[in-house]
Amino acid sequence: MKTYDAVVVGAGHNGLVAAALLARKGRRVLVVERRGVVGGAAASEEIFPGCRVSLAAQDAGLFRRDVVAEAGIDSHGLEWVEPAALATSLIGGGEAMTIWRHPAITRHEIAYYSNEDASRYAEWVDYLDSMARALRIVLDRPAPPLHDLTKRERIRLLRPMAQAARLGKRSVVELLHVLSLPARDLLDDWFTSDELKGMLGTTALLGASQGPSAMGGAFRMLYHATGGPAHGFRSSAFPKGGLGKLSDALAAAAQVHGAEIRTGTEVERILVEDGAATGVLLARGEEVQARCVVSNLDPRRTFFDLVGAPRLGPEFNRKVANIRMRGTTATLHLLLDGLPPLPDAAERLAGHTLVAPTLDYLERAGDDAKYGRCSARPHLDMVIPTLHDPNLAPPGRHLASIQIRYAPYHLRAASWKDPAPSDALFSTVLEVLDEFLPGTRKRILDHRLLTPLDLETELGLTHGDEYHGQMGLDQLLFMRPVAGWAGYRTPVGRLFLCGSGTHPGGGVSGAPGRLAAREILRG
Amino acid sequence: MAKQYDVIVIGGGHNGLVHAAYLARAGLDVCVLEARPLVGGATVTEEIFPGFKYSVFSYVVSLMRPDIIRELDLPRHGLAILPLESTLTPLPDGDRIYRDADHHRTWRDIARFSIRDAEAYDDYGRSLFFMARAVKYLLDIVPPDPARLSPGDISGMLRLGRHFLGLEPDQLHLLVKLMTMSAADFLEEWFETDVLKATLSASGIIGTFLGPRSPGTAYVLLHHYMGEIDGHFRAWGFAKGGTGAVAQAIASAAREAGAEIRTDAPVARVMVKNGRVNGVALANGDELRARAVSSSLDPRRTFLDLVDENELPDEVLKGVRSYRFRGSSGKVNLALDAAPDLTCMPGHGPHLRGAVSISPSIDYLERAYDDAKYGDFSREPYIDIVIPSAIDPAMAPPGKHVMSCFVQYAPYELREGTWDEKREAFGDTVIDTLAKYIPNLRDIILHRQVVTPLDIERTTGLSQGNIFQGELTPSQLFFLRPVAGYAKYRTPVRGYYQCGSGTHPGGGIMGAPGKLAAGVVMGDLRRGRGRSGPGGRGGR
Amino acid sequence: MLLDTPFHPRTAPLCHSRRWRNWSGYASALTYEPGHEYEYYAVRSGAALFDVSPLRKYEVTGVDAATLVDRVVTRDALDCPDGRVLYTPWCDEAGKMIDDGTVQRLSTDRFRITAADPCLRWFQDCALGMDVVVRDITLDLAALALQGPTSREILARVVTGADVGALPFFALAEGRIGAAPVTITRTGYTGDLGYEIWVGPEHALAVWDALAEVGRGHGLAPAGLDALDVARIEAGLLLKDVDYVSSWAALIESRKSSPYEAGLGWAVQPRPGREFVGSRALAWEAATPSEWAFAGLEVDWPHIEKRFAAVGLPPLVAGRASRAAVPIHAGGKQVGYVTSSTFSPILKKYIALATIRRDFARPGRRVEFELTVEFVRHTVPARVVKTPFFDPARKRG
Repeated sequence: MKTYDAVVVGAGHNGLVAAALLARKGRRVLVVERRGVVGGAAASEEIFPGCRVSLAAQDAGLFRRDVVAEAGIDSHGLEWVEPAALATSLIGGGEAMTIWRHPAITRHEIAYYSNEDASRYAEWVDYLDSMARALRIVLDRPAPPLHDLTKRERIRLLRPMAQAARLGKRSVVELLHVLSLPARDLLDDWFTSDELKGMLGTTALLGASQGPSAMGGAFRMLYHATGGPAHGFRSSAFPKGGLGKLSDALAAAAQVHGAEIRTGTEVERILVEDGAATGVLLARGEEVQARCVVSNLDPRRTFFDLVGAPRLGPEFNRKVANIRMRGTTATLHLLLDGLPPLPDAAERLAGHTLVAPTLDYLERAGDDAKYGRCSARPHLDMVIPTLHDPNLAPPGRHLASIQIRYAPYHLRAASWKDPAPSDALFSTVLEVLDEFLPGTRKRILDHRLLTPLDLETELGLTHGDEYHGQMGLDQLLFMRPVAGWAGYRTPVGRLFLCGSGTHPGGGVSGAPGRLAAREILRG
Repeated sequence: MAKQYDVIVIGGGHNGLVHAAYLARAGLDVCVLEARPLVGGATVTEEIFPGFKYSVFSYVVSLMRPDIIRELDLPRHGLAILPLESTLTPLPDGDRIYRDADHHRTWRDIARFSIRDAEAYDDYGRSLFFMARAVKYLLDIVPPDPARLSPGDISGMLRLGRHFLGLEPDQLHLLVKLMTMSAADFLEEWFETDVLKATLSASGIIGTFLGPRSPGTAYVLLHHYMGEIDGHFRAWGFAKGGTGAVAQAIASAAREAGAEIRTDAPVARVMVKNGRVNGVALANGDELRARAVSSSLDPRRTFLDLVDENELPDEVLKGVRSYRFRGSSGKVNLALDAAPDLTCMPGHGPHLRGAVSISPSIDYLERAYDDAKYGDFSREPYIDIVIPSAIDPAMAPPGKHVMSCFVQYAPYELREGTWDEKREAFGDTVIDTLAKYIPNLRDIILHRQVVTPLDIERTTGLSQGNIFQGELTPSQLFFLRPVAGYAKYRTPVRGYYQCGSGTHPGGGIMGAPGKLAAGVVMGDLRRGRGRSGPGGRGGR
Repeated sequence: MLLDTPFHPRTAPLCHSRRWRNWSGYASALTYEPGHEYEYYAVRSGAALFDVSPLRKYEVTGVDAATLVDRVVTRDALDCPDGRVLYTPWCDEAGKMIDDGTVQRLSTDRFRITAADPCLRWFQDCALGMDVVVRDITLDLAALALQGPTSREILARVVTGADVGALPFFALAEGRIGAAPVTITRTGYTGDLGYEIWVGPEHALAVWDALAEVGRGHGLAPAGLDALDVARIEAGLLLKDVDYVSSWAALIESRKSSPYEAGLGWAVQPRPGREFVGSRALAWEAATPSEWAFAGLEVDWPHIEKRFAAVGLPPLVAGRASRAAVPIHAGGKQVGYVTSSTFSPILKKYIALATIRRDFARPGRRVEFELTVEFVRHTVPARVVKTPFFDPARKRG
């Protein structure tokens, strides 16, 4: 029987990055994917007849460009689209404010709301980028272990410190100060306009189940700026042809170097002998032997479903059970017979289109989630991929993917298994669109709503948490996925994790996959 | 030539007094200036209604550093801290959780809800004991400054690193969680019973403008746990004679050591010449000279009100302006004709000698916070009650009682109206809430004093009525308290120091800032000059 | 406030000494008579009846019950047939002891575990992912220990539906005492012939009365914790919180003990492919022994007498069992400490349980026991011996 060097469970983007990097180093790699397509939450799928779109993830701005080179995917037809408009905030009453990649135009837009804010914006852009650069020093290398350090590891620890010191002691202290701040406090320190603060505060909500007053929001704002210039908002970029194109390119790069990818192949469990992984058992009964198993699934699915809690220690299980996984996002995909009516729609709606008029609006949306309700007035984040590649839909048609916050996985008075909450959420979104982007409703030809439960059943995300664990300060660095096991290794020998549940965290960044591959290659 | 003091201390709160006492004991000529007619600041006992003594603001003692009690010989000056025996959490349905020093009884009380939780409660107590022990180290050191690489700072950072890396891995990880999580999430890792989580999380929200589900509140949990030992709730104490007795004892120790304490002496400004302090000007126009001036007021008053902005670098001004106060609490003090009778534990009993916590569920506390977030006082507030007269009979006439109710949330900034308009409505809300659990309450109230955040600010000078002189959130702790670069009690003005709760290690009747600052001032004076922050020596 | 056990209406009037102790929140008699000697001798020559209801009791049921028990305890539970009982410690992941107790296998998928302290949360957490239910049945079961040479005759006369006379050591049987369904286990904490009786609290008094009635002719006496303490030291049995500290309660690492360090190495029973909580750490420890070991000590009694005689006193140590930690020296250095010690009335020796450096734990090894006479510290010679100190054939026979 054939023995692989590594079998990667799950072909999400991190699994594919790990597979490509391992294959490139000559390892014999098998990737098994339960679904029919590769990409996981970043896969192109036919959602309406003739329309292909990614079910969950919408933006690949966090994807590390150096991983593109390292994994050798540039030659596989990957093209990036960076629309001139980064994001447009709908203020209500037909008003909109857009952040453009061109600073002068942005300044002009903001000046409509506040001259003072407009003049500070350039400084903010620099500040956000410099803080994100400092943060990335920590994020793009293995999380520092704090215990049982060997001499070599101690020296390795000094390197990022030296690198950070070069950025200036001021910015290091400022980073320490800012990391724990709520988005609201950080934004209050910089700006006066409610509209601008509401818009910028939205990136603090990604990977969290809480509103902008929650501590750690400033960290998440910086985190979402670590993929490249954020223009004061977030690192944003779209693969032409949809996010699935990135996954396809990663898969192609892995295959070129000899990796096998089997889709439609579900793993029943990870085989463990004498405390070490020896391969996987496929759902159809076949056993695959491998020198190591690499799981791209979230930690809870990996340990509880594939390894089995009884094979792990109770103290470790407690930690895994305590990982905060709280999906609070639903995604509504719309098929439209034209762009929503807005002046310069083709330009302004090409990035993220947001309903986030004020921080209080976001806060109230978050309040509902605390009590297990969908937001009465949710925050919306819409991307129209057909503006990046018109071929994604039949001529004249547009696709819009709207992330809806908050739609908590655990509803207190209802269940996502019933149609009622989904129907109610759909009408809520339509009402919000009527208010902020009137005329959209008339353009809708078809829709499909993915609830957090759908994300769990279709994509395997525990509790619909697309970050494989909340991006709170307590679940980062050496605490991710669980304290004591941040180095991609697990209590099961030769079983590695490579997904978003590991350091540095979620989003389409490829960073966990790359770091996991490096750890595996270290032997 | 007018008299020149060695050190003038602005503010006669407990930290100012501790500061003065240590300086005077070192032989320095010290003068404390207090704006009010009595010392204590927020640590005062006042007889607002004849025969009934209110601990008007702060009401319990748990964090007071034992070394200060010993070194200043405070028991000889009248300090006696009596144990608060228990915490009773009544529920709307007449049930309760009652935790006291009887371990097995507490166990059984919790086990009625969940045996797992009763077991976890011991584990939790032990874990927090470890955490408190790990963090207590910080209470006794001057925070090193990571942005400055002086030998003192580097060795301070190394010592700090050694201390924390010396912890067991599990303990270090738990500490990280504690520093970053919400109280509710942190407790979720142990418990399943909502009311238990709620009442435990309550100590994570005291004094903050955060809800139990807000990250950062787990640390406050610990901050209130540091007075405790080994999972027992005995270390919460009540000062005989009210919290004012703490201030009186410290003042007496300071006076005995030679410090001069002047009341009714509000300071208008700190006089600075050539970047160096030379005294203070009182509101009545008098000027007093000193080699050094220490302010125990909060950072906003210390930096923005007392000295000219031109004396301060922009960075500091910016830092102080964005330093968060956000007063969130009020007090209702009641004079009662008889003992309160609780539905959940009727009649007299030892439970009246402990705290009664109105914190029936996490959602209850969270909703209370939600109200405040948008500028209203909580419609159903969190209330922490103690009945000092049940512990110390001298607090009220025989058979009668005083009841101290700490109330949250009461946002300093109201969405509509002013606190002067809403004071009584706020008081009514508190009484309405309490009456659900104490049916005889309305019948036995003889007098009620409602203290809003605005009243706290007006009376004690605490900005926005924040009882900790600034929120205890990670961005305002340790070397970031109050602002980066000036956490070592010095200020950009030479000879001008800070010694209040707005500095490390923060608020509560602890005394540590006053003592640590005294060490810095003495060191500087001994070297012959008051120093400003940069260029000053780091470390301990 | 201390609670009453289900037997309290009977034990309270008998407790002439009025000496009660807090045992897990229950009032538990230290002695019934003013001194414990008679109660002790009842254990060794007649029969003694102990109320052990405050023990924590858990029930494990379900198809994975055996798997769970096997995973929790250090002994091989799969090897335990139905109707048998195991004494075993259980450990945390680092192989340090949490608690110890007995495991009764009532049927293929039903177990009962006794513990000194609450363990429900631990057992349940260990059961994650298994088809098994763990319940705290402490309040559902009252317990009596009937210990001593005549215990078999007494029990055989009151129990119906089970052959008590044929019940082997560490076996269990279900039967009736009067109308009360009971579980009888041939177990105990005295190192003598003895049984424990597990019964619903509603039948507790009837069972007590039946035993007392029959026992009258067999030298039965109610006995308290003081007598039990002497007997269990003679039997070389550990007491949690005295002879070892639970890893949960130990505030520092060095206070924790592995089963090897507590003399329970025999109870660590690896099996190829068996993973139990702490197994990896214990396998490592088995290969690289800890520097600490457990030992029984016989302290030279004539020396003790001599030390006391030198100041004109009789040997004043022969009172109750002592739980005071006492240093053990060898060659002028401290090499360990005694955790429990007592004068053994039956052996007429002073005996002790000790934690001692491995090099000094070999039987026959001579060490020095610290003895304080009239406020002056001395050492007296002692010898490491095998435990149990007292091991009558009737215990197993």
